[in-house]
Amino acid sequence: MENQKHHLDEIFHQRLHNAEVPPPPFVWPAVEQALQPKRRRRPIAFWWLTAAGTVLLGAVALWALNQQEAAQLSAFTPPVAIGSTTEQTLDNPAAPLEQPTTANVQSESFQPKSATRPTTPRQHNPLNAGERPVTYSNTNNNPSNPSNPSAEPVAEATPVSTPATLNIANLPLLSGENSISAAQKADMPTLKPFKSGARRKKVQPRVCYDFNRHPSALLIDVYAGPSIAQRSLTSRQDDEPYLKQRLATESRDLAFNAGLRASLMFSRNFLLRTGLHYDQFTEVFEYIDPTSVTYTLKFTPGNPIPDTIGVQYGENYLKTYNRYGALDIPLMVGVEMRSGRSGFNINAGISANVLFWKRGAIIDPQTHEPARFGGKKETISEEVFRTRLSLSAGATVQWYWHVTPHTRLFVEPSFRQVLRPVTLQSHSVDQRYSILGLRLGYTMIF
Amino acid sequence: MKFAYLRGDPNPLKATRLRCTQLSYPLDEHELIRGCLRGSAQCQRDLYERFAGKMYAVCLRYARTREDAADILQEGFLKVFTKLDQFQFQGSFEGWIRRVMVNTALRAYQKQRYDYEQTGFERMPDMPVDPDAVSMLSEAELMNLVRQLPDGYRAVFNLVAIEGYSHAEAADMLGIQESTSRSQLTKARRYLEEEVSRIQKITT
Repeated sequence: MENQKHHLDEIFHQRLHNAEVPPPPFVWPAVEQALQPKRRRRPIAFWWLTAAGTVLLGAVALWALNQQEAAQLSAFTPPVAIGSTTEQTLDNPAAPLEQPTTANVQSESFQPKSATRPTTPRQHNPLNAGERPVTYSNTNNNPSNPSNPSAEPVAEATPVSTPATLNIANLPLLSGENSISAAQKADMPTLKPFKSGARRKKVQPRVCYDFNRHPSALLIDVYAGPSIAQRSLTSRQDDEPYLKQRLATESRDLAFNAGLRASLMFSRNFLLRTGLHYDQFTEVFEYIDPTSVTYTLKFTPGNPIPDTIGVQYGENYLKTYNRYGALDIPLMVGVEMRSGRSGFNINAGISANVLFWKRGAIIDPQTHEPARFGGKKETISEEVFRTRLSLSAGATVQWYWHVTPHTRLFVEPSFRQVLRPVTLQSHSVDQRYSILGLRLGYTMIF
Repeated sequence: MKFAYLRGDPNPLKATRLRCTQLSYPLDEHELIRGCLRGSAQCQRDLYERFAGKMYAVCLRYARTREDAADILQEGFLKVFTKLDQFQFQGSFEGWIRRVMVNTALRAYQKQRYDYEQTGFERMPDMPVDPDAVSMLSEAELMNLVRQLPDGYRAVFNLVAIEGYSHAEAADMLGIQESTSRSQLTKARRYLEEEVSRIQKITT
């Protein structure tokens, strides 16, 4: 009778054998984590990759900057010579110039007439032919002399002073120029100030990318900078004490942002931008339990009665940093206004979150004690945060400065509002973020 | 709360199940097991979803506290997934998984020898317990009654009365004498009857 289905057994069996009780939400994440220990390492790998990527990009950017600066320096001398000759052709359309003309001029200059002509430039020619440029420049005392245009090519010719033949070849060229201008007559005084001014003006725009000539371009930006993550906590249900506890224990700390962005410039002034943007913000969690009691029980194996019972009274202090990281893909449109070397653009758009990770401690909504969320030591009794941030809306204003025609440095204040709260709807408190950031970056134009 | 539930699913596990159902789910139990054996995270999650409720109830019956029950559930499922290749695809999978859970629960309290436990319930209940009174109790109340039983009684009562193991099997699982198992069960019943009559008194 004892073991053959007592009525009590029957009832308990029927009612409890197939009973179902919803399991606590933290069990599955723990099982999953134990099953795939490698998954948890992803954030660390991600950090390393981000750091390595930033360093690499920075290095590439610096290298590109140096290369372009070097290229500009080396390219600086030839354009002067070319510029002077082309201007001459423009000013004196009658003169039969261009490449073969140098030979012609040379042949002309070798003629003895250069010495016999009474005009001022030609007076110096015999001196030039026999002496070094130093003496030539010394002789340019005459105020009416077109000293500037002639002095510069000579100064540039000095680096190639080793073969004597080259010097000789240069000097007749000068004399040739002079002979041509003399042939034209009267133009000389007007040529002089125009030439020097025009050349300087032409050098300056070379620092900027010519969007008039290329109305569409690809811009790659790399940026990073500090930010302020403004948090708002509001109670959705009547859970004021919990909200107060949250507000009292958490405070804002450092935040930063970084990103890589590709922009398409079209119709000269319009921008379409996308890329990867990372925001990380930190909060400090501080909790003091003034009446903390800790019991310590020590057992020896096999003995159900504890050997030692310890009781500790005191203040329990817990401080930890709550870290939230969000990786987003922004999609923005912008308008750019340019003025010489610098300019600004205004951008606005949305961004979609692809990764939201969080780790730290908050007051548990059920036990009202500190509990950890995220990471291995998760102790929180219910899921509090969303797995993704979903959409954010934002705007930025960028001020840039051209370093070279294809590179810019920029400062870009930005604002971003995460549209939904980062907490789940089941949670009694809505936690929202708006992020103010400052992006300092570097742009490459292709 | 209800409103929140209607608007969106706050429970990520449940949300996943919904996602699973969209992807040609529900899968046949054996398909699911094969998926788990292939290492599919989604199948593992779905398998957990399918059995977690029942198994948590089992764990609650065996464990002293809810925290212990959650630990047992976690450890049990970990065992289920790591030893899934030992399942022969014969007989009920639920039975297999339940056995894993029960073994895990028993092992958790193995350090305490059940037959050493002393309790002071040797007297008979004051009045005979009306079977209807027991059946009037809710599932949660019955569960609480079982959970209030001392460790030794609870294990035997769970194994023999609820799971349907024989005394020999239960004694073997607990590492105790068969006679001990019998006496523990009797004591457990007396304890429960007394508790039920106490509740009866309060309610009437």
